[in-house]
Amino acid sequence: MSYESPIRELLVTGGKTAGDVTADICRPLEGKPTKLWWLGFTISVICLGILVYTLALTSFIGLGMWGINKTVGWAWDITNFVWWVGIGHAGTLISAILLLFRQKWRMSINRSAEAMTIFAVMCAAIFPLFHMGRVWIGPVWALPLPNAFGSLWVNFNSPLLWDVFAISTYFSVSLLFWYLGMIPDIATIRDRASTPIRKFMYRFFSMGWNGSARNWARYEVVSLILAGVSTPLVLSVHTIVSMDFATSVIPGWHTTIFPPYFVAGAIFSGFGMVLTLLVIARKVLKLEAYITIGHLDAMCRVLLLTGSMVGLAYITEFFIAWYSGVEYERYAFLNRMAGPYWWAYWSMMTCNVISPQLFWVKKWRRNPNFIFFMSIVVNIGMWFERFVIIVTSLHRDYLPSSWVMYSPTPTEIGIFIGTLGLFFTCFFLFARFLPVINMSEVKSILPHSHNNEAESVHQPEVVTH
Amino acid sequence: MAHVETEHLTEERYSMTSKTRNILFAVIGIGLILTIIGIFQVKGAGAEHAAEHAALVSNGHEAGLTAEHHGPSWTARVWANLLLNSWYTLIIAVCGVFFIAVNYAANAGWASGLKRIPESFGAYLPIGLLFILIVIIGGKQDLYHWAHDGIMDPDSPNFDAVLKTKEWFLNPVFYYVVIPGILLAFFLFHRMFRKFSLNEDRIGGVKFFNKSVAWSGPFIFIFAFGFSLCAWMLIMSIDSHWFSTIYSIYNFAISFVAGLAAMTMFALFLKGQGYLSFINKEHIHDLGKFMFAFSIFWTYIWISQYLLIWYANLPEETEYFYKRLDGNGGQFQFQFWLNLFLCFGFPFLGLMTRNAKRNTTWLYIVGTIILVGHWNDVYLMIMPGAVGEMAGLGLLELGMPVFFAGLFIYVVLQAFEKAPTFPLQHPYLQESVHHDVGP
Amino acid sequence: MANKNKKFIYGIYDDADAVIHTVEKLRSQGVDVHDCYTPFPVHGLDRAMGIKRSNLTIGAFISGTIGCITAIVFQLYVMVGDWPMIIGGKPNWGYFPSFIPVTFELTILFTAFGIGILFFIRARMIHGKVEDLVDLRQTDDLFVVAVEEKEHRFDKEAVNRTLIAEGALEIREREYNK
Repeated sequence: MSYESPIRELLVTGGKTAGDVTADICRPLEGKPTKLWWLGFTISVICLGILVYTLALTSFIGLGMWGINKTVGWAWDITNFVWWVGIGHAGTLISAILLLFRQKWRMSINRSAEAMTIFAVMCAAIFPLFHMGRVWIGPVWALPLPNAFGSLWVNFNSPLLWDVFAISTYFSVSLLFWYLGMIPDIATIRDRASTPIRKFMYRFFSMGWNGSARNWARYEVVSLILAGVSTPLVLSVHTIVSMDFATSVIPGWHTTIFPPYFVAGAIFSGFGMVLTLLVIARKVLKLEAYITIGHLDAMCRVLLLTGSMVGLAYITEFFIAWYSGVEYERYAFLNRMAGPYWWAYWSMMTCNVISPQLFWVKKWRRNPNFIFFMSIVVNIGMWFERFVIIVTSLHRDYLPSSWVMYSPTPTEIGIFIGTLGLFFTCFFLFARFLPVINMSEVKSILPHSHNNEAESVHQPEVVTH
Repeated sequence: MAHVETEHLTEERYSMTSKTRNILFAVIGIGLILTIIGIFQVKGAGAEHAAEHAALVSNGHEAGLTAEHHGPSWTARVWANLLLNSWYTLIIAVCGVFFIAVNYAANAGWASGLKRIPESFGAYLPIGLLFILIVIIGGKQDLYHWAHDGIMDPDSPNFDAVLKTKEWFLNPVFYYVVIPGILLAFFLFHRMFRKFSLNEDRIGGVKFFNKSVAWSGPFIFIFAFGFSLCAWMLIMSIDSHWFSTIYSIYNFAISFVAGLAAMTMFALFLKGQGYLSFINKEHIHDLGKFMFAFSIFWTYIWISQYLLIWYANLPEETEYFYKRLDGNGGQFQFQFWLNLFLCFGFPFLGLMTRNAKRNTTWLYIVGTIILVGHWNDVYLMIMPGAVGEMAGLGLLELGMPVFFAGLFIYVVLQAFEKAPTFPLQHPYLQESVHHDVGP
Repeated sequence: MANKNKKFIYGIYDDADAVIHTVEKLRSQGVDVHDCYTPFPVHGLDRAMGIKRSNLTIGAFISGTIGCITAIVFQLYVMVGDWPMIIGGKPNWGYFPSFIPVTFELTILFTAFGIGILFFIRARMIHGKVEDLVDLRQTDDLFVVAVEEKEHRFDKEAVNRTLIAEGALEIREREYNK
């Protein structure tokens, strides 16, 4: 039996019953799409078109369409790759780590955050795949298969290959976790479905779920195990992404704090994106009773925490670069701050470290408009973080004759906008066909005993001694 | 579920039995005696070593070496041991304060019934600070290469250009003022949280709870920065030329996992004595999970540091692991690999199953292994740099931890006596009492 | 189906606690509860029904171990056995740090999919399976207690009485003929 302290904020407001939960969350899936949905979806699909076009350009003409050069070989593409992978971290963090820490507020937001994870990882994968050039053959080289011309295999000493394993494992396990969590809800929609085609589709994906208590018992064990393995997995993914940089000997890249620092940054940016989406979704889908101000507050606290962790990492890096006394290290960090890309560095500092400190103020943590604005700021800041790490470290080579500047081409910008299109297209489809809130979990935290008597819902017992 | 019955609890106070007290005094005494014998042993060995050294020098070997570099003396080993044990107990004590702050910040309820245990850890902070002060004043020359005379002076034969670049941090202001100041600040924060908690007991209401929540954020913030500075100054600067950005997090990982192990063992001990009767398998299970999870976290940090340094293979970084693996003919190699087993392998395999996390005796064993393992971990951070070939495992290394363990337990239990064993007015107490970990 | 030629009595409730009480009562009367159907995991119901903790975790451990071994063996085969390569001065004979990431990932992958697949097998779930429902609302807000009507030593009246006493909205019966 669990007990809720009376001073805790209610996680679901408005005295909802289990039946209300089903009705509220299924409503957007069962009616006709709204005009707003069509508008957003159309814009997203247009952006998706840009993605197809720019990727086709890249494939037919070649990587010359991008602004990368001999010195700055990684730039826009890897920045976006890391940015998207980072965004993809919040979902599994919310569902796995917060499940293990038993933070119940995760229940209303984990479904959409996990969906976001999957879509973000899809967007991320596009960049390295196309950066390999000859996309029709490149990805094959990344698979652990023997080379067509002999018995050369992939190089397991390479962090880039670790990345292939990490990202694909992360994608598949997240997908499994997401799907498994959705089965009971799909069954709920199935049992409400009115048309044969809907019945057929939801029946197909619900796998015959009927809510048997024996299966629930197994299901909970499986969820817990999946959460248990996803927790180190989510840490490992950005760790390995960070090793793409940190195993090298480039000043500014090679630093031992990278793994935990990237993970903190990923959580930070992931929560930024979750807030961007949910502040809108709760309004449009009328889910204020489920995604309450209390939820937003909790997420803002996570932003504040991880923003400060990222700040600590920046300062640590800078401190140790100075402390090391190594000329190249010192130069790399000075160049970030005061070199030609100073504006990127200071955008990053402002957006990631300084502005989240505003969340110390409780009033601002509970103001959706302000939160929405801040979440955009966080997304921008984290984009600049990756840009700063990648481009400023590379553009000053050891050989001053190789010093260059980098700026993106329209194709590259198009790909980035295009991935946003892909992401939002997927998200709009998700919000249209699948329940955005985990109904079965939310039902389990309702004060569900005697759920017809409204007064017992509103007044938890006050403990007195 | 609002319909779970609240359990009626009455105030409960702990009083140390005379048996416990006597045992602790005996432990402290034995530790002290062993330490003193150990010091004399080390002194004897030091004299022998010096004689050997002198013989070698007179034979013409190593002549160049002695001119500019005198090896660590036997006193270095004593100071290094004192630093090791003071730092280790100090970070465990700090973890207590940190744990409470994290629970407030995260709105976690399950541990509120156990809260007085980590809260008592804070009582050790002034003693820990005192020991650190003794070490940094007395052991400066022996422990820190950068503190040697003339290292920062361009005209001296001892001048080290690399260390000169670090002078802005490795200087007396940071060393004597900032670091003790940070540790003092931790203690003051502890006093504040303690005061809130005791006032809450007396007056009740949520006022003090809200105050604690409000201050937990700033504490965590200050803790993160302050703890990093302490780790860099007190421990990392022993290997004066070497640097690693993850180092402070590595120390934090040790602090947290060792602190959790200590907390778990205190909880089990008190439960065994008949206190905190509401603690059941569920709480123990959660503490076990925490030990398991943070052992993995420690491993993650360990491997991040090792793998990156191994992979990049830069001489100024690999020297750290070279000393610990191959230095002095592999003097520390065994302990190096043993460390991974004690801090990762054993807790990982030992706490994997649900039953293991719910078994009191087994948790005692794992907790002990974790605490010993991380002692060894700190040993490996300090000794190879500060003592080098003179390091070893003798009576000194046995006696001093025993002394510190006895002292720590005594101080904590005494602090535990001074307040009710659980915070009766804590708003989340009933949640903690009704805690259920589920499947 | 496992339910062939069996008869069941179902009590339908709208309250989770009532389900737990019913199950406890029935079991104390010596009646075996076949299963319950609930829209969400009801805490304490598994205990009331006497369901043992699932041993799927053992399956997870085994599949994880297989993943770990697969990864190590495969990497050793590729990097040491089949075609040793030296790239960036790294020793090709798996000096352990390089192999850790991939080993870790495959361990997780195998664990997760191992336990996922075992769960679907154990719960007899497959894509497109037609659901076996008592009431359409059992995945919405109703709770069902299912008791198998046995041929011997089964007091149907007593079971019905208990179900009603605990607040069942409705009692249904069904016979599987397939």
